[in-house]
Parts: sequence; C-alpha cells; structure tokens
Amino acid sequence: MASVKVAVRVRPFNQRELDMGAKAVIRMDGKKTRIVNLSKTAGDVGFKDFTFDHSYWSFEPSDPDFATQEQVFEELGTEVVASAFEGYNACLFAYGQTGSGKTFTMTGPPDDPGLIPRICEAMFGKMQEEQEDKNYRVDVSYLEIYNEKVRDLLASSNPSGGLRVREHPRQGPYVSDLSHHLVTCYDHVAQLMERGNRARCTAATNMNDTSSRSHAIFTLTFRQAGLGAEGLPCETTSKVHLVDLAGSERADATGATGQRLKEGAHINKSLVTLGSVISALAEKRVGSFVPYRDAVLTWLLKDSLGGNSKTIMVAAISPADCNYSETLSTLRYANRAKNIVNQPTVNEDPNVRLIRELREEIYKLRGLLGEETQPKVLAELQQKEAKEKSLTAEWAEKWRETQAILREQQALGLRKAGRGVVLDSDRPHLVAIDQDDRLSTGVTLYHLNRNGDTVIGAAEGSDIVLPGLEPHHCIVTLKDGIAVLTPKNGYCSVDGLATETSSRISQGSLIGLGRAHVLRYNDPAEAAQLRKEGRVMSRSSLFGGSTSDLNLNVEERELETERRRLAREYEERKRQLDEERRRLEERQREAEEQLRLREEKLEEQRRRIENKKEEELEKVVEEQSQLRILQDETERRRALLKDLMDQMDEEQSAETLEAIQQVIILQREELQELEKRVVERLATLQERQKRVAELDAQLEAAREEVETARLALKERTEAELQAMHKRRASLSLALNGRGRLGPPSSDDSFHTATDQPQTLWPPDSALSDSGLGLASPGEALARKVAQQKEKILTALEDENCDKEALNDHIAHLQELQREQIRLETKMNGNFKGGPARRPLEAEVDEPPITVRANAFRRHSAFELSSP
Amino acid sequence: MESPLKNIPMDVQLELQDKFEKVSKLLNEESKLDPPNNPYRSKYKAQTILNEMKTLITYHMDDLASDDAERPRIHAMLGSVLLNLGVTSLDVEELSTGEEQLNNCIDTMEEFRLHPLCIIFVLNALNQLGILWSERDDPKRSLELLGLAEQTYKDFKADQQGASKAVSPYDLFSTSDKKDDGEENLEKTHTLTLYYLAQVYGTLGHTLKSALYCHNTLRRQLESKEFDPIDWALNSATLSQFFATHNGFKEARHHLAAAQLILDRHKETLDQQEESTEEKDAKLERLNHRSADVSRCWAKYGLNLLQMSQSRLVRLSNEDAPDGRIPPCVEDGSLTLRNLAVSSLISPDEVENLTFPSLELDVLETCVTDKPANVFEEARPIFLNAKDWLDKAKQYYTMENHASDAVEIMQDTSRLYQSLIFFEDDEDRQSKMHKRRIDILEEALGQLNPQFYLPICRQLWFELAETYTEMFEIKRQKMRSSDEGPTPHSLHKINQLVAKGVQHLNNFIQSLYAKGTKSLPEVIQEELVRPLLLAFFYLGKLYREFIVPDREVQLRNLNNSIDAYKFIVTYCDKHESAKNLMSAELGICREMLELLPLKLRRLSEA
Repeated sequence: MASVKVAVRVRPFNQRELDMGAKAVIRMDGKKTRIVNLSKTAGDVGFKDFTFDHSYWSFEPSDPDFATQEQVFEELGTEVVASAFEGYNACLFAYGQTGSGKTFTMTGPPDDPGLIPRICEAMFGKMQEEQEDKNYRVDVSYLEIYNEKVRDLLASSNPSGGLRVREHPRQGPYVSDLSHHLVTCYDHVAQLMERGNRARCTAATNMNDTSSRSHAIFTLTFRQAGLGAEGLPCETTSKVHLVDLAGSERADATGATGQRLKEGAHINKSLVTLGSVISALAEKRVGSFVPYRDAVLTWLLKDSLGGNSKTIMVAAISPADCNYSETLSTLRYANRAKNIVNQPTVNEDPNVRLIRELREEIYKLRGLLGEETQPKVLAELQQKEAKEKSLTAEWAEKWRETQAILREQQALGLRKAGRGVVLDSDRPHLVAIDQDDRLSTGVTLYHLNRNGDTVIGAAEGSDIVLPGLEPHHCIVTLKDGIAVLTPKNGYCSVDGLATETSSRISQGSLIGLGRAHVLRYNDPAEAAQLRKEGRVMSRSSLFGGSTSDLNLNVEERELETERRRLAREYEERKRQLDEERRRLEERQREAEEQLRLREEKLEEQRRRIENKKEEELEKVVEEQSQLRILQDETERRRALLKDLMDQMDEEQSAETLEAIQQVIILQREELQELEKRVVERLATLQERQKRVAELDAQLEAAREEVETARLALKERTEAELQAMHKRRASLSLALNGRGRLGPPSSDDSFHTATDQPQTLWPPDSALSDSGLGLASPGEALARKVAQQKEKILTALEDENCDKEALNDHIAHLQELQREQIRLETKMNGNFKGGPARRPLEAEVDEPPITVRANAFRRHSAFELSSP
Repeated sequence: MESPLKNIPMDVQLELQDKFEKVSKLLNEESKLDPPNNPYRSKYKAQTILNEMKTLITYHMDDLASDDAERPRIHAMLGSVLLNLGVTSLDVEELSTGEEQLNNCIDTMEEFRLHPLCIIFVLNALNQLGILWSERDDPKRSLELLGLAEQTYKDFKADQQGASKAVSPYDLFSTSDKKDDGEENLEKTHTLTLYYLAQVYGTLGHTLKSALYCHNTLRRQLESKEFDPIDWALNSATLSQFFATHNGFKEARHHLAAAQLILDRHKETLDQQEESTEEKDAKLERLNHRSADVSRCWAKYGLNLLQMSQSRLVRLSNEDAPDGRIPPCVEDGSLTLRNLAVSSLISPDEVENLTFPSLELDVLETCVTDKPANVFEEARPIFLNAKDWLDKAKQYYTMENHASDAVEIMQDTSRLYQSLIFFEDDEDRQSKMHKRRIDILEEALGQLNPQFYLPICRQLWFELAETYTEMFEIKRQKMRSSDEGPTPHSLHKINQLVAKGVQHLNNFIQSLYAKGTKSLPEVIQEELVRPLLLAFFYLGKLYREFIVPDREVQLRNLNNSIDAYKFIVTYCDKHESAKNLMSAELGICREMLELLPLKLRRLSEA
C-alpha cells in the first residue's frame, strides 16, 4: 500500500527577518504545528493547528527539542533506503517557498549534510556491506518539468517541445530519451546534481524566470541482482525520486502542482490558470473527462505514488510573521498532500438493484425459515417433543401388548411341556393353519365371540379378516358351547368336506376357507369333556392329525391313513410342480438370455452396417463436392476456351494466333479430360449411393430378424406357462376330488417347539391396516400427523410458499398432535376399563392375535425361563 | 497624449513620467531577475520611487480648487500611484499596508470613479482587493468587491455610451505623442474581474454561476483574439463537460463544436507554417495530444447523453405513462440548463445565450443530437458518434505509449456499449454486446502490468465482474422464460459466467493482500475499504448463483457466500468508520448471516 508521510520543518530566522525585527508565528508540539496570526487585533485568538506525521522544530539550535539533520534522516531517510533495498520505489518531496530552508533540508551545507547526501551515503554503504552475494547498479537521471514540458538537466541539449512522457503497459511510466548516468559513489551523485542545478539555472534565466516555477526530479534507479529464494538469479529495480516541488504561491499561479493540489479557495490571478478553474468545475462530476493540464509530475511519479512505495513529503516553512500567508499556504498544502496519491476509485453501478434483489431474497428466506429464526427454540422443542412422544407411544404400545397378553392369562396360557411350549386358551377359538406360507413362524389364534356370531371374510369390519376370501365368507356362531359354521358366499369345507349349509364344528375340526386358508377349531370345554371321557390324546401330528375322538372306528382310521397318504402325495406333487415351475422359469431365463445375446449380436451388426453406411454417405458427399469442383473447373475452362476463341477471332498476328491455337488445343484436351473425370465421378457416386441403399435394406432386415426372435420367444414361454398352469389346476382338482376325510383330532392346545422349524401361522402383513385393531383410530391420526409434517416440510422446501399458509399448516399439525394425545389417553382408559372384546392383539397395529414367535419370546421371557 | 497639466510644473511632470517608466520596468522586468536571497529587491526599489511620486502629486493636489478641470486627472495620477503601491505591498507580503493603500486609491478616485481617466485604476483596485480578501478566506467579501467592479464597468459603459475611451496608465503620465490603447486595457481588466468572479463563485459552491463566468471569460478571450488556440479549445471542451453533466447538452455541444473549430483552424495555420521540423513536430504533437483530448470530451458527451436518456426513461416509466407511451422529450424542461438555473436561484435568462456568436458552428453541431434518445434507433447514432470519437482518440492514446489513457478509452467504449444495451430489447444481442465489453476490458487487463497500474487493474477487475454478472442475469432470465427449461448447455454457460465474475472479484480482493502474505491486512487503506467490502458483497450474492446438483458443491458455495458476508460484518464491527461506508449494505449482510446458516443447515440435513 502506498503510504504517505508528511513532515513539516521550521527553520531559524534568516538575516533579513532578523533585520526586520520579525516575530515567530510558528509553534510546535509533538506532531502538531500551530501558526499564529499576529495581525489580528488584540484579544482575537488567531491561530490554526495542523497535525502531521512529523513536526520538526529546527528554529533555535540551543533548544533541547531542536531537530537536527541527523534526526530528520533517521526518521525519514532510513525508510527510503530500506524501501529501495526491499525493491520498492520511494519518493521524497520537498516543498516550500523560496528561502524556507528547503535546500538546507534536502542538500544541506557540506559540514551538515541534508537528506540527499545522507540517503546516498547510506545506500552506497549498504551496498558495500552486502556486496558478497549481490550485484548492484545505480544510475541517475535529473529532469525538470516546466510548463508541462520535460527537460533533461543532464543532457547537452533538449528538444524544444520537451521530452515525451510515456506509459508502457508492461514497463510503466517513463520519459523517452532521458539520459541515465551510472554512479558508484556519492561524490559522483553530487557532481551530477550540481551539473543539473546549473542547467536549471541557465534555463531559468533564458526563460526570463526564476527556477521556482519548475519542478525538478532527481531519480536514482537502483538495480539489485542476486540469487533468489530458490537459488534462481533475480533482479529487482527500485527507484528513489527526490522531488523539488515548485514554490507554493508560484505553483498556484501556474497551476503546476498537480490536479489535486489546487483545491485552495484562493483566486488565481493569471488567466493562464483558467483551465484549472474550469477543470475544477468539471472534475467534481462523475462521468466527465478532464484533460490533464499539469499532470506530468503525477504521471511520472505514478509508479511511486501507488503500489507498495514509500512517499515522504517534507514541507519547509519560515517562522517569521512577514511570511505568514505563504507559510499558511504551505501548511495547507502539506495538509492536503496525502491527496496527491490520486487513487481512482472503482465504479459501483448496479448496487441499487442488487440491494433490492437481496432484500427480496431475505424476505423469502424469512418466510421459509421464519419459524426457525424467531421461534427457533420453539421449533426445536416441538421436534424434540414429537420424538419423545413417538418414543413414549412405542414404549406404551409394547407395554400395552405385554399387559394385554398378561391380562388374557385367564383365556390364554403358556406353559412348557417337555421341550415344547404350550399355548392354552380356555375359550373356544380358531387357530390358523397356513399351507402356503412355509416361512411364517408366528401362530395366529382367533377367539370366537361368546354367544354370538363371529364373521369371517375379506371385508373390513369382519371379526376375522382373511385376505383372499369373499367379503362375507362365512359365520361361526357360538351358542351354548356349540359352534356352527354357516357359509355365506364363499367356499367352505369342514374336515375336508365342502359344505354349503350350516354345519356343526367340534373340537379339532379343520375348516377350509376359500383356496388357501385352513383353520382349526378348538373348544377347550369340549376337549376337557372328551378328556374326562378318557379319550386318548394324540400328538403325532402337528396338524392335529391324531384323532381325539375315541369313538372313531377302524374305517375312520383307514380313512385317516388314506388322508395322510393323500396329504403326503399332495405335498409330493406340489413339490414336483414347484420343481417343474422352477425348471420352466429357468428355461425361460435361458431363452431370454439367448435372445438378449442374439439381440446384441444383431444390434452390433446393425451398428456396423450403419457405420458403413455413414462412411459411404461421407464418401458420397465428398464425391459430390469433388464433382462440383470438377464441374466448376470444367465451366471455367469452357469459359476460358471461349475467351481464347474470341481472342483468336480478333487476333491478327499469325504468331500469336498459333500460340493461342496451341493453348486452345491444350485447353480442349484438358477440358475433355475433366469431362471424362466428371463422368467417372458421377458413376462412382451412383455406385456408392446404390451401396448405401443396399446397406439400408440390410439394416431393415436385421431389425426384422430381431423382432421375429423376440416374438418367437414370447410365444414359446407363454405356451409353456399355460401348460404348467394346466397341470397345476389338474393337481388341485385331483386333491379336492377325494372322498370325505375324517375330522382330524388334536389337543385343544396348540403346540409349538422352538427348536423345530415352524411352519404356517402367518402374521400376514396385509392384515395390518385393517383398522380393526384398538390402535386404529390413533394410527390414522398418527398417519395424519405424519402427513401434515410431510406437508410442512414440503412447503418449507418450496421457496414460493407464503408464510401464512405455512403457519396454518403448523397450527393444524399442533392441533392434530393434541388430538392424538387426547385419543391415546382416552383409549388407554377404555382399555383398562373392561376386558377387550376384540381379538387379543400381539402387535398393536395388527388386529388379530398374532403372536410372533420372536415377539412372544421377548415378552414372555420371564415365564419361559421359570421351571 | 494628454495635454500638459497647468497645475503641475512641467519639470515635475517630466519627473513623474520618468519615475513611472522606471517603476514599470522594475515591476515588470527586473523583479523577475531578483536573486533568491533577495527576491523582492526590485519591488522594494519600486516602492521607494512610488512613495516619492505620491509625495510629489499630493503636494500639488492640495492647492487645487474644487472645480478645477484638471482635478480628475491629478486624482487619477495619485490613484495610479496608490494602486501600484498597494499591489507591490501585497507582492512583498505587506498585506495590511497594501489593503490600506488600495482603499486609499479607491477613496481618492471615488468622485471620478466612472471617469475615463480613473476607471481602469478603480477596477484594478477592486480586483486586487477581491484577491486579497479571497486570500484572507473571506470569499463573500471578495465577491462583494468583485461584484462592485463588475457593476462599475457596466455603469461606465452605460454612462459613456462609447463617447469617450478609457485612458491607459501609460498615457496618464505620458507627455509624448505615443498612445497606449486604454480601451484594450479596460477590457482586459474586466475580463479578469469576470474570471475572478468565476473563481469566487466556485469557492462559494455556486458552480453554475462559476460556469457562466467561465463561459463569459472564454467568450471575451475569443473576442479579444488574444488567446492560445489550444488552451482555449481545451478550456471550452472542458467546460462542455460541466454542462454535459448538468443536462446542458445544447451548451455542451456548442462548446465542443467551438473547441473543434478552433483546433481545426489552428491545424490549418500550422500546416501552412514553414518551420524547423523539430519545432513544428512539437507543436503538432501538442495539437494531436489536445485534439485527442477534445475527442474524448466529445465521446463523454455522447456517453452522458445516452446515460441521461436512460435514467430519464427509467424515471418516466416510474412516474407515469401507464400505457407505456413515452411523452415527447422536446418540451421536457428538466433536461435543460434552465432547470438547474432555477434551482440555483439564477435567473433562467442568464443561461439562455451561452454561445460564441462570433463562431460559425452549425455544421459541427449537426453531427450529433442534443436531445435524449427514446428508442434504439435514436440511441444508435449517438453511440456511433461517440465511438467514432473514441476511435479517433485511440490513434493518439495508444496502448504502447499511453497505457492508462488507452485503457480509460477502452473503459469508455465498454460503457458506451453498456448504455446502448439499455435500448436493445433482444436478449441475444444484449449478450453479444456484453461479450464485446468483456473482450475489450479483458484485452486491456491482459496488457497491463499490475505492478505499475494496480489502481486501473482493480477497476478493470471490478468492471469485468459487473459485466459478467449482467450477462449472467440475461442468460438466467432467458433460461427462466424459455419453454424448454434449462438445458445442460444453458446451465453450463450460466455457471461459467458466474465463475468468471467470482474470479475477477477474487483477483480484486487478492490485490489487497498484505505484502508477501495470502491474507488481507488488518486495516485496509481508507479509499479501498468500500470497494473491498463491495467486492465481498457482490461475491456473497454470486456464490449463491451457481446452479449445481451436487450437494457438496452447493454447501461449499453457500459457505463461501456466508464467509463473504461474515467478512463485511466483522470488518465493520472492528472499524467504526467502515460502518458509515456500508450503511446500505451492512443491514443486509447481517440478515444474510442470520438466515443463510439456517439454509445451510437445512441443506446439509436434507
């Protein structure tokens, strides 16, 4: 960053001022400089204060605060030297009216040197120190700017228009044709400076003017060559400009101190400065171009006034009252000096629109995220609450589940029998036997409604809902311990016998419903009666295959054997069928795979053909363009020939005639040749086009082939599938067609063994949303809640959703959640109030009693482990 | 020559004449050669002689009868001496003495202030007092005195009605036949009065008044035929910049045409001269240089006219014309200098005839309109005219020799396109023009060495970022309004434009990194604080304009955006002065910092 330091230095009275009996008007205190106006009437406090980076008090040598040359150099000069060695430019301005001590500060007498000799000596000294690994080179130039013309003070002659100031895009500002002089020590520098000053004086005299109307710039160009950080050679160039600015009053009169420095309120006397006045008017406006009037100085120093350079301004002032106005002017100038760094600022046009857009965005974001920003905590709380609630609910469900099972103890009992676990119930019930689902491990038990009807069907609202049945399949009526099955509009069988009328079912009866469901009827009371009567219990079959009826005769036993055989056969056939189906499927997959491969092959072939076609087409196009070129050429030749013939008609000289004839003959031949080639090309072109057509045909054929193959496969697999279905249908018919089977008997308990593969008993997931269960209303609500949440989240994602609607949604959600809690509380109360009339539920969201083996184990761990 | 005085002996008259000539020589010639250690030597000598003259005249004045016919002349002689004494005292910084002498001068001639013998001294004394009070930081007092000078001149002209001519100081003391032109001296003095008034009005902030007086100064220079043609043309062209930026397009064009005419005439004169090549080259160089400057003024005129047309249309569409119809602009009073005059409490008549009647400017003026453009067809000729001028200026201001001027011209070209875009409805053509701007600015940037032209590079980075943003907005608008919806191509293009904008802003920011580091310094240079914070402000928005499906990238962009706002807020919290610079933007940044992290969280949770 450009850093500008401004220093002010006051000198002692000079002889003239002493002679006049001058009074001191300057006071200094720290960085502050005060100028007192003695011409004001007594009592009037006339002074002005300025603060600078340095205020140097060099008024009286005896003063303890007296600032010496040494001190000025230490505080200003060393920075310049350091900057130069770091590779940055430095610029030292001296400023002040003639006789203000400018020269003393800058050059000084030989016995008390000023800034310039000290800076030079320090630089040369430092070069000596560091010379080991570095090479240094210093050259000097000295120029003067007068009336915006640049003159080389070290050259023997100058062009009348002055030297040209240039700005190179890569190398920066420079003065073309300015002489540079290599120097090796300060003496050398001093000599050149002396020479330049003499040239300046002579020039000034010639111009009939004093030198104070010109600026002088003495430049030391300092090059360092050495090895850089990575051992690579590197060279840095830095410039030290020592600038003697034109005096203040004079400078104002010529307007020659740079655009920024003439902002003073004082009237310029000479019309020469009209330009500056007009410029000042115009340049206050953005968007105007004000031609540079006197910017040569600023131009030249551009590389020093921007970037990382160091700029120091020293204003020299006289302490005497007679110089009051000039001194004040100098101080004002120094005060504004920092502005000499003419930093163009950047434009900023579209800000208004941008701000408007951002405001809109904020408004939108607020709408979207509003609930999170203001009631952010509340939202988080709600979220937490919701989570807690669902956790509580989950926990409560589980608790209720276990409780319900425990409460049903009187109806349902678990006990261990040998290695098995026995599930007892003291009420009449149905146990589902699923033949299709081999993977099911749960056991479903349906209690029958006491002294009433139990409706079984697929329709919602049935007491026992089973999929795949007719909506109102059948009714089981339990009255005075007697159960009667009444088919409604579905296929029913009792112990394998289809029935269309009401039929009594008894302990151990197998009820077939539709095609898939088999239920076993257990009546503990009846069983107990039977046991009392001394019937033998059979545990030989999981299906309750053993009879519990002691009255069962031999014939019935044979029938039973037969039935078992048939059942085995059925199993066997079923397995075979499955096998067959799998084989069929396998075959189909293979066929498909084959087809796919074939298709790929065909596709590949098609692609090849297409590529070929493409190539051919390209060739055709090329051929065409070639043809065109040839045709054009032919045309041209023809024209040429015609021209020649015309020419021949006009031509008189035999010699030329002959020559032309020769040419014509030649041309004719060439033309013929060309025409022949055209014909040939045309033929090739036709040939190629034909080939393309052929390829097209091939392509079409390939496509058809693929299609055919696909169709064929489809037909074949369909036929096979049909065949399989047929076989399967015949099989089930065969089974159904068997004679009536004796009712299988079994214990009233259903036995299950943990170490045996458990079959059938499906907790059919399709049953779960029946709405029959106790939790159903709550569940619906929960679903609604979830839906509502979903809705809100969707709304939040949608940036266009307005805030009010969102609030409505959220209010609705809260309402729903409250309702949910109310309902849950109510239901819990109901539940505890009386014995459940509905089937016991093992999983809260599954209406029938579905005891899953694992769930069962979990909840009954205590009972299970007790002996 | 005035006839010898009866009241003063001839030898005294000759002595006075001799002394007067000596003083003139001392003040006008010898004082310039005074040594630096005694800069006022000649002036002190002149003071002595003037005091002697004063004594001589006063001595003979005492005996005069109140109705003596020679009274005006003798008073004028004393007035002349007092004036010279006063001016010299001011020169040698004896201000109070000088003031007293000048006041005495005016008092002495009060009775005859409109007399042809006295008028020049009265006006000069008033001018000098005006300058004195201006130096004493009392511009109002200065204005009073100069205003009095102006009025006195007018009164003299009205009083004399051309009957008798003002007499020059030289003739006053002269006993010879040689006659100096007093009339010319009077006019020059009055021109100075007007010029000083221009400055005082400027100091007082009455810019339009100041401009009027500058114009009058220029007109009088023209009529006096004593002016440097290049200086004059340059001044007229510069003044046109004032008018053009105050909606005085008619006046601006007139001043530009005048500048052009004077330069053309000067060129003809130069072409005819047979001089040594070196001298002629120098003159030609100066002419070419300044012609290029006038060309740039012309270009700025066109640019201003287009920009004003734009803001006018925007204002009109905001105000009324619900049917979208634009009222004819000719009668639009707000677009002339008269309006400004009214608001500056100046009689509109004063700004009526800011012309140079002695110049024939019709042809040059018809090259370009001075009326605002309403539609593309009207804007285009203005654009083309301005672009022609810029191309002309470029021939002198080449990149090789005048890098920063060349770049400024390129920036102006870019701005011209920007102004024309406003009048262009077709999005594709708008895009193309933005592309032109980008090409121009990037070319400029590519050629400059930031080591020397860092401030310009910074401007270019900024402008390029703006241009890319504008182009991006057009593309986005187009994508949104298209039926097909976003295509991969359009999305890619949009992201590319946004990325370029981001890149240029980052270049700008990085140019402010502390020496040898990769981070910004704690404290930013004052003039660059707002640009820097604005760069972050733009970045904050741009980072959110990327359209990407990848959530990781989305998160990264959003984070970058948040960081940009964070920088602004942090910097303003640390530096009180920055808050004022960003008053409009800071609130938005704070709100963004509140909202965007929530958006970020939502995005990262989604």
